Amino acid sequence: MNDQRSDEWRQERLAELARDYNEPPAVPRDAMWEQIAASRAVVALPWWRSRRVLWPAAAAAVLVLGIGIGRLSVSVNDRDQLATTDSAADRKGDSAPAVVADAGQSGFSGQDILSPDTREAGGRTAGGRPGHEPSAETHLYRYAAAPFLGQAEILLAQYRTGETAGSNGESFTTRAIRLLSQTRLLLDSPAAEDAQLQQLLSDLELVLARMVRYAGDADQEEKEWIDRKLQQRFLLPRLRAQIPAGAGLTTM
Amino acid sequence: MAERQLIERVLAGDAAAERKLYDAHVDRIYRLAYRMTGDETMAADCTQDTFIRAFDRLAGFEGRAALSTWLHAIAVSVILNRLRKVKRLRRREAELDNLPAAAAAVRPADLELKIRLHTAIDKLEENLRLVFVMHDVEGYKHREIAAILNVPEGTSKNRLFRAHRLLREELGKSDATPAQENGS
Repeated sequence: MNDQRSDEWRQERLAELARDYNEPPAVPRDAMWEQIAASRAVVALPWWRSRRVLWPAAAAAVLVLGIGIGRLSVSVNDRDQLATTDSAADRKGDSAPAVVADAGQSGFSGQDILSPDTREAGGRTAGGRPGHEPSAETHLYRYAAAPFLGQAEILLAQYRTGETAGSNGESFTTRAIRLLSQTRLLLDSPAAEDAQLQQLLSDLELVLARMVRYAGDADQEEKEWIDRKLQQRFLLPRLRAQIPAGAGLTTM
Repeated sequence: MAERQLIERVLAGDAAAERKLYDAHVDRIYRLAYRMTGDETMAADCTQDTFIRAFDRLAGFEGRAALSTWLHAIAVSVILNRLRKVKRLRRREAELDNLPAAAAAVRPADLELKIRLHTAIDKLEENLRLVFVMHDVEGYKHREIAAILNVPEGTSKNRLFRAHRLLREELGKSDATPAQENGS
């Protein structure tokens, strides 16, 4: 009898104590609706105007242009190198042109600024295959992610300098939340198949999640954690290395 | 307006009907997402994903279950997927974070107990926690839960029973602690 009463008491107590488990705040109906409507508007565009087509098409155009320029510069470099080799017998020990030619063929300028993890893994390149060049698809997604990475870089840079107002009046928290959502979307997209970008996005996700929290209660411990991670994970240099020139200038 | 009519208007591209459908269900979906994730951004993401998927797939909704049940089934799938990803993230965060745990502040016994219970709820298997949150915290009926999760009603009851037992065990431990301390 006593056992049964005790059980009932415990049951009631359990329900009472659980009532405020993850107590939800007011439902942000309008903010969520805006995001849903924006996403649906993109889906509703005719296929040839949708982002899914426009981004890769733009990226493909740039890629073709890039390959053309690359081939041109490689052939120029080859000619330079040939000329250098020809004259090498005359000028012994002058190896500078060969070094320049190597740098010209190395692809992305920031490839050598790898995450600490990637560096430890023996400099694994995009796609996770050691010694393999990133595929054209990887380049496309990397290019498509560039404006987002540019915005993330601006936010992190502003966090460090303490200027937290966005150019369009958006608060720091709002921008951090938006970038966090976009980071998660990118992590779910084929962009994350690029091991280097995936590592960068994962690190960025951690820091942005803390930034959202920090902006809410201005906790000193959170700030120290963010500062330490920014430094330890070389986030800003890694972001900059992934952003083609000009991509970060998008308005936030 | 009847549910079927509302769906037809949404399918015809009526933006006002979309908003109406959203308004009718968003609160419950968001509350469930928040209870399960404990995070505003994640709850909002899950809610948005749920409605985006729902609007995309609405043409395939056959009306065999209530719209609310169908929406909740999508929501549960989105929430559980997101939680699996977050678990991986939290493991990584723990690996990265070398900060020593902050010293626990002195808290009143009831608050301490509540924190222990909430921690114990967090530790429940996802399918037990989901039923516990839906039934005990958000007030869903077993019939509703069974339809949303596509399981027999008995399974829902059984999961709740197991959740209660595990939580009672945790509370038993925490109840014992102050008594033992007082007794010593």
